Amino acid sequence: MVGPGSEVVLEIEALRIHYEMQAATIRAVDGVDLKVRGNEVLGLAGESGSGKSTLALGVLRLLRPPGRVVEGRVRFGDVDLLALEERDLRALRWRQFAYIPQGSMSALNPVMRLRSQFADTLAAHGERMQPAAMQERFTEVLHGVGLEADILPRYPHELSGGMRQRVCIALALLLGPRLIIADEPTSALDVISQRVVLETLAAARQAIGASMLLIGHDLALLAQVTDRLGVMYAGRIVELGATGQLFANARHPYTQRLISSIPDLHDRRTISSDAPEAEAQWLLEGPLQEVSAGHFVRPWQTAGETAS
Amino acid sequence: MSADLLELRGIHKSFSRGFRKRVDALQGVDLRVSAGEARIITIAGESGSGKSTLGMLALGFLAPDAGEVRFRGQDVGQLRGRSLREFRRSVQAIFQNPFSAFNPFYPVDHVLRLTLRNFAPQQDRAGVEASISEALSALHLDPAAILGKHPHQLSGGQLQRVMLARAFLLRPELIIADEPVSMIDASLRAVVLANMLELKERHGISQLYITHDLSTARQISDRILILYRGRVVEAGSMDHVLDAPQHPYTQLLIQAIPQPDPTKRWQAPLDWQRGEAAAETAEMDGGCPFYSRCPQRMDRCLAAVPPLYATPANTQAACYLHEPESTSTA
Repeated sequence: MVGPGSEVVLEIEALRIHYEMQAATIRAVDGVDLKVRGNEVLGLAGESGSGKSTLALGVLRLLRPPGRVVEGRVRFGDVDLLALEERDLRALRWRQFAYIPQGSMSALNPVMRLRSQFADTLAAHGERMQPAAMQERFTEVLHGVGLEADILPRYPHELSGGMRQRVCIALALLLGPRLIIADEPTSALDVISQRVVLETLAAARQAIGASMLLIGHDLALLAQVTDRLGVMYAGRIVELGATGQLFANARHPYTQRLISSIPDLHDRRTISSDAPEAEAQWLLEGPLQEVSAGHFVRPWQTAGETAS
Repeated sequence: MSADLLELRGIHKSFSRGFRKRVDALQGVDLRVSAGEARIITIAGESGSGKSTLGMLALGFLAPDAGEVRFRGQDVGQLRGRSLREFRRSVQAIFQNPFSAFNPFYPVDHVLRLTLRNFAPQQDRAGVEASISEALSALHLDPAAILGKHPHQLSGGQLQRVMLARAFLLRPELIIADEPVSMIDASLRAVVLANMLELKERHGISQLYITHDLSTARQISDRILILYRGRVVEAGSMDHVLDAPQHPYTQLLIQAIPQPDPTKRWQAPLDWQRGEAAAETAEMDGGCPFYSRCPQRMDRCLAAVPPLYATPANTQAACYLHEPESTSTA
């Protein structure tokens, strides 16, 4: 098994994304630095509104107004994705990096057979193939996600939600990307399909040696498949480190709270109804600081402390 | 005659879906909430298992096609006037999305005042204020931080707790909570669950906790029913079912739940059958509803739907693996 390499596939530097509206400007991503290394799975955890999905859209240049990148660079290999012409960007998309959005099973075209959607994906990214070679390629990626080529003549509604999600993963892997950005790829599935799909995604990624940025709110799920983990809060990364390190030795109170709030299936814990801590806000100050090798934490203050 | 607060017996419910299509949401489900000691009973299942339909029937919002729903021994469908009002007060509901439960144009107090106006119209202004403060305080909410706020100013967790306070205003005997924490951020969930537990332990309010999430169910409930495609596949005390699940479906479900610990990762892919078309057709013809995905399926399972059998682990499981020896030759 090949472990994560030291080469950097994606480097996000000082990224700021604002939603500029008449009444207010929302700083959804407020200065994020992040590196995704070769052949690694980097998890990005956060609750709703933390900015994790906006970050993905910004990196992929899929933001819609009023969302706007106001500052920062996104280096993919030696190109700056944010400075790229739309045409050059299209040449990289899917071929070099693929995206699996939340609930992507509903992204399939309901009135097109799956075979046409696979063929369209190839054509849209300029890949020309003979029909026989095409069939072979489709079969190969479908096998990678545990499906048979006999689903190709079917329509999306003829498949279960879990199967549709695996079709979307197969589509993302079709051109053998170096980087996969997956945003809550299993959140719309029941718990059994969730495990099957996530196992499929992890194995298929490993097989082609791609890197993956896996975004999610479910820390237990991220604990299962990530090499490193970043925790986002209010548009910033508050803690970042090897997944094992982070779970064993979380430093930031927000990370600690996220981890301790996961209910344990095997243990009935005494749960407290004390609310004040649960509603606490943290003010984040200064840059991330390295507290041990590869483990970074952002300094904080609680909102109450500064009120005086 | 009956000591049950609420009893659902032999419930069947189908919905028509377009021309000549039918979805059998519930197919012969029994459930009892006793009037004695307060209990939290979890109804667990994935989407489409019929768990929300069961909640709607228990609330009297839907009528069963067959079977009966009884409140203190009386058929809920027959309740009128004063007794219907009493049922509506005694059995309260909390739903999944707290953001849609409030009118965005009014402060959150509105729904609390409206509830009192409907059920306690004789209360004077001071009485109303006192009741509201008391209910919010029972849920550890500070009235000063809640009253006068509009829904968008509060977190999902706070809104859901205001909904619990609304229910608590009426001192119900049963609260039916359908996925009450699934839209709430993980870090705020614990408080809502703690509130639910306290409503049972301190105020004697029983609850039906309808959820797909066994981990949160474990934290608060006493009993559990696992539903699969409209049938109870396993039932028993929470600890028995989760510590030693006896039905192959419950076993798979528990194995699929990720442990929040990077040192306890999944070792081998989940052992399950990919539902083949042939197997699914067999289910339609009256076999076990779990046949197509079951890792332990037998030919026997195609003949008829297995009834609930007592298991060695003190649960009941609808699986022929637990059929008593003496009758298996029949």
